[in-house]
Amino acid sequence: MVTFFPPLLLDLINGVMWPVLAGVAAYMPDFVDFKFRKFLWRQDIVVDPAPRDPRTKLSPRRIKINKLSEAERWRLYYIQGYVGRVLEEREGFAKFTLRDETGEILVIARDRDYTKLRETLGSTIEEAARAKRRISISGFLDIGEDGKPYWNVADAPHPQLIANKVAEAIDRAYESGRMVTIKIHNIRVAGDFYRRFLVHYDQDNKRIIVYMGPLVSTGGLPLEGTEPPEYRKLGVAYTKYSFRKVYPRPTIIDAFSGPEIGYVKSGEVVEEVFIPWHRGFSHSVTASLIAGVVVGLLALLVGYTNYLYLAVACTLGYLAHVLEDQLGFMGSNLLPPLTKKRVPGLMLFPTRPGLMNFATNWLMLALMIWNLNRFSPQLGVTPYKLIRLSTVIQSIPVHLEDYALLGLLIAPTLLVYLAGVVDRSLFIRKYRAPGVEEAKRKETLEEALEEVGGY
Amino acid sequence: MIVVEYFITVFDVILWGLMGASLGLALSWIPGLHIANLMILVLYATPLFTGGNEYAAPYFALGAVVAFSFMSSIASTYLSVSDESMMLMLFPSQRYLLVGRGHRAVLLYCIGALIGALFLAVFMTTIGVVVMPIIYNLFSPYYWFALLAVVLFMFLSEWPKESDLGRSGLERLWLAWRQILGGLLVFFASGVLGLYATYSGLIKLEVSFARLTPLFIGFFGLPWVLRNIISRRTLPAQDTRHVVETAPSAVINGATSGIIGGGIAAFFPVITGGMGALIGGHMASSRGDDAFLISQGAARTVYYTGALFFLFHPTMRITRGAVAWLVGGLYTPKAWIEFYYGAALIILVAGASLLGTIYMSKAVAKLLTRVSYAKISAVIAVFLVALVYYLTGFNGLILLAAATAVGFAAMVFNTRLSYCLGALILPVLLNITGYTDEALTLLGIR
Amino acid sequence: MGLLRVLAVILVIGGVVGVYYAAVKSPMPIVPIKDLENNILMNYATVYIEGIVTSPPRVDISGGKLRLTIYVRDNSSPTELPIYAYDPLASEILKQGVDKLPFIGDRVRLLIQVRVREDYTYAYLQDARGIYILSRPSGERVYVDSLVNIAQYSYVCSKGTVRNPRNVSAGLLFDIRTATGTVTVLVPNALYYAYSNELVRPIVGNLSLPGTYVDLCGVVYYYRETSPEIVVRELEEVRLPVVQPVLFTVIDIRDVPNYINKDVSITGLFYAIYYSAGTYYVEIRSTDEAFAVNVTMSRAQVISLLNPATVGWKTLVRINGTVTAPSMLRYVAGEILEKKDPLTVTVADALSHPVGRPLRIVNATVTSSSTVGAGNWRIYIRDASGSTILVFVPSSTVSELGISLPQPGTVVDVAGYREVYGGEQEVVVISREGLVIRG
Repeated sequence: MVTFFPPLLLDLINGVMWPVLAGVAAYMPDFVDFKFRKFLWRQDIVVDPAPRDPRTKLSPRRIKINKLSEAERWRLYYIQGYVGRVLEEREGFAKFTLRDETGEILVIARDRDYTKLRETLGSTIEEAARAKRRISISGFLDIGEDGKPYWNVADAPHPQLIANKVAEAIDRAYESGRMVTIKIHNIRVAGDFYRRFLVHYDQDNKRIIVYMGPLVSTGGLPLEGTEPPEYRKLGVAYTKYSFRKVYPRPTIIDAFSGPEIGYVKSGEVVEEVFIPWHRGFSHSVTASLIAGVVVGLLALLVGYTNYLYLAVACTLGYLAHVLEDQLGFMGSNLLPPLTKKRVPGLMLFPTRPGLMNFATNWLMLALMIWNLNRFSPQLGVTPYKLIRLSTVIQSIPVHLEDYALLGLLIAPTLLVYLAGVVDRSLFIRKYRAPGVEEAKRKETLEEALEEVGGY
Repeated sequence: MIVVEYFITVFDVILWGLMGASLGLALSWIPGLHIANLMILVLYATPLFTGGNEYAAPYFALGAVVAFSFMSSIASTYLSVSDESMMLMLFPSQRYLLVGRGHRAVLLYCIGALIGALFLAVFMTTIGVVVMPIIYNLFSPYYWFALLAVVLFMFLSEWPKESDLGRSGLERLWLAWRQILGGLLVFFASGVLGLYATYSGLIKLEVSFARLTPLFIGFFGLPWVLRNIISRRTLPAQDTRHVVETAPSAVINGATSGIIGGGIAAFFPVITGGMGALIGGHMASSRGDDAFLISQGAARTVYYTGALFFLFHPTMRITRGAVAWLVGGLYTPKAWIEFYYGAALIILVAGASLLGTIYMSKAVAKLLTRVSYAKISAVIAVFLVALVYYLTGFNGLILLAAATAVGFAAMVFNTRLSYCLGALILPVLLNITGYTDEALTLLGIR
Repeated sequence: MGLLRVLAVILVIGGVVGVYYAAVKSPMPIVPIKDLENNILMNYATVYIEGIVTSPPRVDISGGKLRLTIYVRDNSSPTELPIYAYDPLASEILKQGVDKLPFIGDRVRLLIQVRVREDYTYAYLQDARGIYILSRPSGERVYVDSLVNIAQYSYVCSKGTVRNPRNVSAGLLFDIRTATGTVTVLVPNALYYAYSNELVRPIVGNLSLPGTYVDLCGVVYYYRETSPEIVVRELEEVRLPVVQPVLFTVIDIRDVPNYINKDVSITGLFYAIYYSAGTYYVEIRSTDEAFAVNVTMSRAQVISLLNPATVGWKTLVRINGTVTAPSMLRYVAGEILEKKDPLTVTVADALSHPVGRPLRIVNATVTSSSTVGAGNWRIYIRDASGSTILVFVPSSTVSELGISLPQPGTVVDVAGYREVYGGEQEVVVISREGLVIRG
């Protein structure tokens, strides 16, 4: 946007760098959301299925036996100690006690978990007991049918914990009438892998179903042989109140950061708001005006001569971000406090969001080239315009050559946008509302991933 | 044509180009060593190019640079293993290595590098002939604005990796901003070191070309190898079959992202490959480990090779990067035929480097599972320290130590290692905004 | 991990402090220009250089930005190193004023960053405070009517009417028609930026008008090493006096006693120079050498009109002045009517000439030399005649010479006037042209 204003360009040429604030303003909406709102957003319920070791930053971390309680049920940890008594051991099953410096607990290993445990120990439990070896066993605390606690050998938490918490959040949202936000932490293990789990909303049966999945890389590729056994693959929790879930697919949590999900009562049902802190006031026209005023005042205070141009450039930069986001699905609440709800996005090119992104980037570049070309002579950078279409295409009159150049430069973007309109109609016709919801979800995730993209 | 034949022949171009490529292939696998350092060593230790060989110098350098862009993948894949506990996010090449697929990472990188080299040669000799001078003239007055904007974007877009661990909003905010503040510390500390290295007599005048060498080895080379030694990682056996798992869309996406990023870095002064790749990745919405590795290969090749190749363009002849400045001081190609020779050489050397890198990758993969990783890293550490001492003496070691502390801080704060480029960027930004004076007074060397 | 972060911060701070202590003990070196030229390993080296600015500072617009260019040469290399400063640094330097602007003839020390190309080397100034002006041409206002045989980098003045003003890329170029010749003058465009518009416009405007009377000073520069011109260094040294015509009554030199306190114009022969208590007394005699008057003049006035190195004994002159005593005039203006070459004599002959006689001795050899008092030189010379005489060079002349004390064995030419001081015969050199080293 700076390139629209020759006085600002002249300042840049002469080493006065204030106009760079317009670029900063253009990034502000996401900066505010991802560097402030995200962290300050209230998390009413925090689900940490596999707390990380503070030193290694990996799960599981060690827990001492005397710290095991109802509150820790289903969470993935590891306990460390010596085998006490081996009560039962056969193929696919073992039952024994483990003792550490703080207490003793019953340990049960079954199915593939037993097999894995033997592989890790390199021996049977009996042999480990006889050798008096200090061993570590990952798993989670569970309560047996007899009501007594035991340690279930596992390499993932039980999904029941997550299902319960999500259901709790939905119920609280209904009862309190305000948004309840749940933060679900992801599970990071050695080798920079993540345990994938899915949260499925079965609105017809008022059920939350959580599936515990395999280990995946940050690129989303599953690691063979890491699917949990059937007995601890599923967690189901029932909600007291109805909820609406238009989005047809489960919410997937794996690499990078776990999401915050908001639940809010809307009429008689509870609706989900994915990553609720994003695209709020920060993504509005109102905010762009405020940004311009603030920067303008700042510039005036420090004595920058072209403060007015800078203020306008900042507003336009900020606005460009807001409007570009409006090309997608989610949309934003554009004119708070006058408007309260999000204006849905234009939903262009749902099947090729990368191409839309690229086309919009090209548009910005094209505008820069156009402006720099037409202003260069007046700024003394070049003695004449470098791109003069009237000399290449004789039929273009000199007084229209700038507009012709603009048209030529932005034509690829316009074509992509046009194709995006067509694609949108086809998409909506095919997938309807659920498809739109899915696309919104994907867009939100993409934005979050974009923040992570840079190393 | 006759005039150029007198200066250089096709045979000379190929011979010197392949000689340069051999140098690049032989030495570029050492972590922390930049191709410019290698070129400088060649010229300092054995001034081959005085006495009539100046016309061949650009081709020698071009061969070395193309080879470097391929072969440096060996260092970044095999010789920078990390503990996940030390880094909250491993690079894809490190992840691949830890699961025995280091060679695949190199192959993906090489795919990107080859595409980057081909694109560069074809684009520059066709559309680039017309377009690049225009782009240069339009954007050259605004270089420093672009640099400042990229630096700010780097800070603004940093992803706080530890914030999830906070229990309250303020704690999460602090954990997030701690990382960003760590980044600022790294940037400004490295900037201060860059100012001292540039504006004091710490480094002897005779080796002022190497005034930043201790810093860059300290930022990027030593922390890497020290980390390797500390983590005491053993590597699993590596699968050295020539297999890659990717999709055409990932190749296109990765290559596009890399070419954009590398092109930006090559064109704008001071902006490096990593910074350009950040922009390119955002523009092309790059996703997935395979796309990332391909984009790295494309970005690095377009960046290093493109920066030098601009020197060959007869109507543009901009000088980018240390290698171009070095070569341009000996001889700057002037004729179109030299330019086209250069493009052809890029393709030739890219092919040779691809083969060389693939086989080097297999050899290193086998070696690493037999020889202690920590021992190899220790040898490299000793070599790097000795190199710094040889070039810059005791004062260079002081700079090296300080820079290693900064590189270590970047690691510990989980912030971008690119911030260490503050050593280059901050002096430049101060200079163009007219605040060098004040900075030097503050630092006590005015 | 928290401890590691604290350790990291400590190490970073410690590292920077360590580097600081090492850096303050390692000042930036001063480097001969020949070590920079064509040395690719010096690319981007930041160093000090010391040398003479060899051309007027030039300002132009390059790529839309202000660019200041100066050329510097030191003793190590015959080539001049071009040094550039772009905005914002260029404007900052210019705004500091002409006192801080490196100017032709200045001896400077500059902090630069080197760029070495295939066939040329240049540099960029790094910051405004990295400019040290070690010395610059200066001196009394010595007026010249032409620049023939005037050494480059001399600080001289001239006055006359403007002729042929034209704008060139370096600034405003014009000629001054002086009393006896023409002097070319350049007002460099750097001054347009160093001074405010309110100051520059009227001066430059007036200088652009042919016929304007101007009195200015500046530094001599040989454009393309052949064409001398005065380069104005400070606009304060450009005076545009409104010339009030003073009526000098033309009288015969013998009638001077009848015109006490009147402004008169006399014609006579330049006969002798005497000095007493800070004032020079120039004896002018009637053409028959029978009648003499003394004209009181300052050193600068003497050198301007009657420099013993160029104007010889018995040169016919016109003197305009005010009669202050029966045989005394106070000098106002003068002109040479018929010039005679300086009287060239041997040392033996010089010893026989009376006190006050302006004369010249050539190809004499220094037998001993010393510095006395506040920088005065005493040099004994002998020539083929076998006689020795003392040459006294006052400190005011020494400071303009720009050479070091000639050592025994040096062959010199000397021009001045005869004097006896403390019973010792001497020749006093009052102008810088009065002592020329031959070898």
